[in-house]
Amino acid sequence: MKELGFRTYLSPEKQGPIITSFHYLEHPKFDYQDFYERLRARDIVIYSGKVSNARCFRVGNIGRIFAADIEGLLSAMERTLREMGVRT
Amino acid sequence: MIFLIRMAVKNTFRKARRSLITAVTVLVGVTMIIVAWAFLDGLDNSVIRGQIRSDSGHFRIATKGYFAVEEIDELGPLLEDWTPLKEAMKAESEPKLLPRLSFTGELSDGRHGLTARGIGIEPDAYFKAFDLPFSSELKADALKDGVTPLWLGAGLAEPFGVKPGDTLTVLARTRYGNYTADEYTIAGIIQSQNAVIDSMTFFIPLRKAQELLDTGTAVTEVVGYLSRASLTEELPERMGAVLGTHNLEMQTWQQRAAPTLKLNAVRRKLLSVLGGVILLVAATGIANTMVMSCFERIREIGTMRALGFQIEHVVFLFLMEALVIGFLGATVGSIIGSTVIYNLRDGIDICYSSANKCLEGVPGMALVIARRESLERTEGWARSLSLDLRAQWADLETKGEFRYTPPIQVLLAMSAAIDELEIEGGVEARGERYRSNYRILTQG
Repeated sequence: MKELGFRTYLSPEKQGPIITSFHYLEHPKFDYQDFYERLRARDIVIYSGKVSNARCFRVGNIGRIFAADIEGLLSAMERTLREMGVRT
Repeated sequence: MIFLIRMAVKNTFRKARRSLITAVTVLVGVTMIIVAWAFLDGLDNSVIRGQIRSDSGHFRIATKGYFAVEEIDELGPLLEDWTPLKEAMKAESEPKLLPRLSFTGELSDGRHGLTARGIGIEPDAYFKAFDLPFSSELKADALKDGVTPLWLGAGLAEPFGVKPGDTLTVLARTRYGNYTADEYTIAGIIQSQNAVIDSMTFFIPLRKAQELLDTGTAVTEVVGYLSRASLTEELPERMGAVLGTHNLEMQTWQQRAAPTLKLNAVRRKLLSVLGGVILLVAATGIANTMVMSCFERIREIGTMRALGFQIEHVVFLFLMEALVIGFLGATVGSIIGSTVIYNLRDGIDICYSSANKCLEGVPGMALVIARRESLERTEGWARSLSLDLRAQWADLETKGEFRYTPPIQVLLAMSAAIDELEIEGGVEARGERYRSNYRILTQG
C-alpha cells in the first residue's frame, strides 16, 4: 500500500494488525466510489468509511486470508489505479 | 432566605484557606470510612465465595452428629447409603449432589510425611462443579491404567517438591482403626483462592477412598449445589422430614460461614465507633472554625443587628456556613472514596465477544466470560424471555441443554472453527498470520 501511495490513518505504533484504515489518495483522478466499484468487479470488496470524520477505507487481515490473498489484493489495486489513470 | 444562603456561601470563602483545611479533615474522614467499609464487604464476599465455590457448596448433609466432630475425629459418623437422599432431593429444584468421603491422612514420599485432609470425590462431576483450577496437570491420556490419580493443593505439593506424574503414598486409618496405605500418582496441582484447599487438602477418587478406609459404599457427607444461592434459606425447613427419617443433619453455607461473618460484624462495629470518632473530630474542627469566624466578625454582626437582622438570621448565617464546609468535605470525600474502591476492584466482570472475528466462526453466537456472581446478580434483568443469559447459563449447568431451539448449524460451525484454530497452531500461530498479512499489506 505504501508503494501505491496509500497512507495509514494511524501511525504505526498505534496500529494493530487486525484491520487497517487508509486515507484516500490525494490525486485528481482518484474517485473512491469508482475505485470501490472497479475492485468489486475484480471480486474484491474493501470496507468503506467507518472513521466518520476522515476520508478513509479499511482493509481487514483476519479471517481465512493468507499472504497470497493480500498479494492478490495489492496487484488488483495497482491494476485498478492504472485503469483509473492514477498511476502511470 | 436565598439572600442569607448566598451570603453564607460567600462568607465561607472569605477565609478560603481555613475553610478548605477544615473541609479536608471531613474529606479524609469520609474517604477512610467508605474505603474501610468496602474492604470489609469484600472480605465477607470472598469468604462466602471461597467456601461455596471451592469447598462446601451451598449446603452439606451428613449423619447426625458429624458436623460437631468432623474436625476432631479421623472419620466421623458415616452416611452409609446416600441414595435415598438422591431420590428425596429429586423433587427439589434439581440441586447437584456430590458425595464426599473426608478423612485425615498422611501424605508421604518415603522420607517425609505431612498430615493433611483427604477427600474422596467423583472427580469428573466434582471438578466441574467446583472452582478448583489446576496450576499444572497430567493430560487425560497420560494416566496409565492401574494407577490411581491424586490431586493436591499447591501448598502441599511444594514441600515435597513433586509435580504431576510423581507418586505419593497416603497413610490413613480405616473405619475400624487399622492402618492402611496406598500409592497414588499426582494428576494435578490445585491453586485455588481458598487457603484451606491449597495448603492442606488432597483429593482421590471416591471409590479408592472407600477401599482405602474400608467404608464400603459409605461416605461422610454429601455436598449440594443449587442454581441460586438464595434458595438455600428455605431448604433446611423443606427437607426437615426427609432428614429426620434418615437421621441426617444439614449445614447451609450461611451456618458454615457464620463464625467468619460474625468476626466481620465485630470489625464493622469497631469501624462504626472509629468512624464516629473521626466524624466527631471533623465536626469539632468545623465548630472551631465557626467560633473563630464569630470572634472575627463581632463588629460585622453588630452592624447587621443594627440594620435590622434578627438573632435567628445571624445564627442561620453561621450554621449555613458550617454546612457548606461540611457538605464540601463530605461530597469530595465520597467521590474520592468511591474512586478508590472502583479502582481497587479487580478487573472485568463480564466480557463478551463474537464468534466471527479472529475465531473465524460464523456470526450468530457470542462468547461470554463472566464472573459467576456478576452473572448470578442479573437474575430477572432480561426483558426477553429467550435472550436471558443467566437463565440459559443456569439451564446449561443443571440440564446441559439449550432452553429453546439450539442453533445447531452455528454450533457446528463454531466447533469446526475451533478445530481449524488448533490445526493452524493456536492463537499464537493465527496472530502471526494476521501480523504477516498486515506487514505485506502496508509495506507491499
